[in-house]
Amino acid sequence: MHTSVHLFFGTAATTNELNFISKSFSLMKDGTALPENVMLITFTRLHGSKHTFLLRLGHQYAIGEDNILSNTAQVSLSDLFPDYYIMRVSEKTLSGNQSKKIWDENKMKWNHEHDDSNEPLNDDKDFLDSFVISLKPLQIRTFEVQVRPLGAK
Amino acid sequence: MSVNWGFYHSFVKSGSTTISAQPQGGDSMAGAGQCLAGYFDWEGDERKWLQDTSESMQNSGAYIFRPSTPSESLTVLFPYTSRKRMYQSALVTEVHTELSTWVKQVVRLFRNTPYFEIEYTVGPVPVANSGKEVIMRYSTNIDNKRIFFTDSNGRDFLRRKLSHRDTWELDEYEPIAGNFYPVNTAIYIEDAKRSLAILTDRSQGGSSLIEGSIDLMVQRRTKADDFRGVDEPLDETDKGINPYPPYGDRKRLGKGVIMNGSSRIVFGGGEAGAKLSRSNMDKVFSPGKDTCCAFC
Repeated sequence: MHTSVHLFFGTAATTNELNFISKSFSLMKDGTALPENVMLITFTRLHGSKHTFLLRLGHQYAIGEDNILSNTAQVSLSDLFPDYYIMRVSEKTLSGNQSKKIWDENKMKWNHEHDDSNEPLNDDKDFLDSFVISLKPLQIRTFEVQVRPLGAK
Repeated sequence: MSVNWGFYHSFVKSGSTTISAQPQGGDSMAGAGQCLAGYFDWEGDERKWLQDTSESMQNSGAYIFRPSTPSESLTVLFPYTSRKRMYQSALVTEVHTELSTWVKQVVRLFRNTPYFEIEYTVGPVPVANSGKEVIMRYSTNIDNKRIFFTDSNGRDFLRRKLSHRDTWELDEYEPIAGNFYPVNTAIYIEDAKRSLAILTDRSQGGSSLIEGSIDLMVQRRTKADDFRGVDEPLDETDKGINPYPPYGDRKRLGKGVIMNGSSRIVFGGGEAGAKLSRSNMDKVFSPGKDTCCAFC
C-alpha cells in the first residue's frame, strides 16, 4: 500500500534473449523459507561495502495471540545467504549504529528486587556455529553480516 | 457483513459565536475571546460541563470529537442503486457504489487472497448546516460482548471495552466520543466462532459502538473551533487559506478536501482476530523489498 511495486517495460523482439543479470532469484537457500511468524524487515548493503549487509528480522506475533505462531522462532542466517559464506555476524542495536554487546555492557544497572542477571534476553547457544538466532514474540533483532561469495578466496 | 456509511453532527455550543468558515475580520477575534472565557469556565467544574449538555462549552473541532448529543444516532447515507456497477475479471471483482453525492466506495475481491479491500473517496464534506464526523460501520453478527482490540502503533493489541476502564470506575458522559480509540494499523472483534479484522492504510479513530460492529472514522469537518489553541475550525480546503489579520482575512479558499483511502477486511474462525491482523498488517505497511539491488 505504501510502496507499490515499480514495473519497468522495455521493447524487444520476442526472439531476442534479454540480458538480465539473473532472471529470477530467491533470497533463501533452496527449499528453505523464513518461519511463518518471522518478517524480513531490512536487508540492505552497508556503507558502500560489497559484502557487508544490514539485516533486521522481526517476530510478527505477540505472546498469547496464537497457539503456535506466538512461540519463539528460530532462523538460520546461513539460509539467507545462499551464494555466500558468512564470515562474521555481529548483533547491533535497533538503529544499527552500535554493537549490541557494548550497549548492553554500558547500560545503566538499576538496583531492584528482581535479579535478572541470569536471564539473557537472547539465548543463542548455537549462534557462533550455525548462525541460528532466536526471536521472541514481537522481538526485532538487527545484525551486521559480513559475507564472502562462494568460490572466492 | 454489511458496510454502512454515516456521520455524526459536530457539536457546536448553541448561541455561541462560532468561528465560521468565512470569518468577517474582527468578528473572529471576538469569537476567540469568548471561547477562551469558556475554557476557564469548564475547567472549574468539569463534571457539570460534561453532564449538562445545554450549557456545555466544548465544541467539536481539530482536537476534540464530540457529536451534537452524547448518544446521537448515526445519520446513515444511502447508496444510489442506479449508480452501482460491477466489474469482473479473472483476478478481481469490483463493486463501485456511490452514497450521497460525496462518498464513493469500491469493494475489491481478489482471487486467492485472504482479504478483500474497500477503497473510499470522501469529500468535499458538505457543512452548510453543521460540521460532520464521517464514519464507516462494518456490521456483523459477531458476539463480541462490547470488547474490541486496537493496536498500539503496530505492536501490542490493547483490549478495549465499551464505557469501561480497567483501572478506575468510569462514569461515561460521552458514550460515542469516549469510546473511540486510536487505530494505527488494525482493529478486530471476535467471539468463539468468528473473527473480523480490519487493516487500515493510515491512523484512524475506531470503535465498536454496536454489538458486532467495527466503526472507523474516515473524515471530519467542523464549523467551530474547539478552544484548544488552533483558533480555527477543522476545515481543510483544497486551495489553502488567506493570511491571518492584519495581513488578510484568513478566509478558507477552495472546496473541502477530498480524501481517498483503503482498508483491508479479513474474516476468520473463533478468537483469531490477532492472527488475522498479524498475518496481514505488515504487508500493508511494507509490501515488498527491493532486495535485488543488494545483489546486482
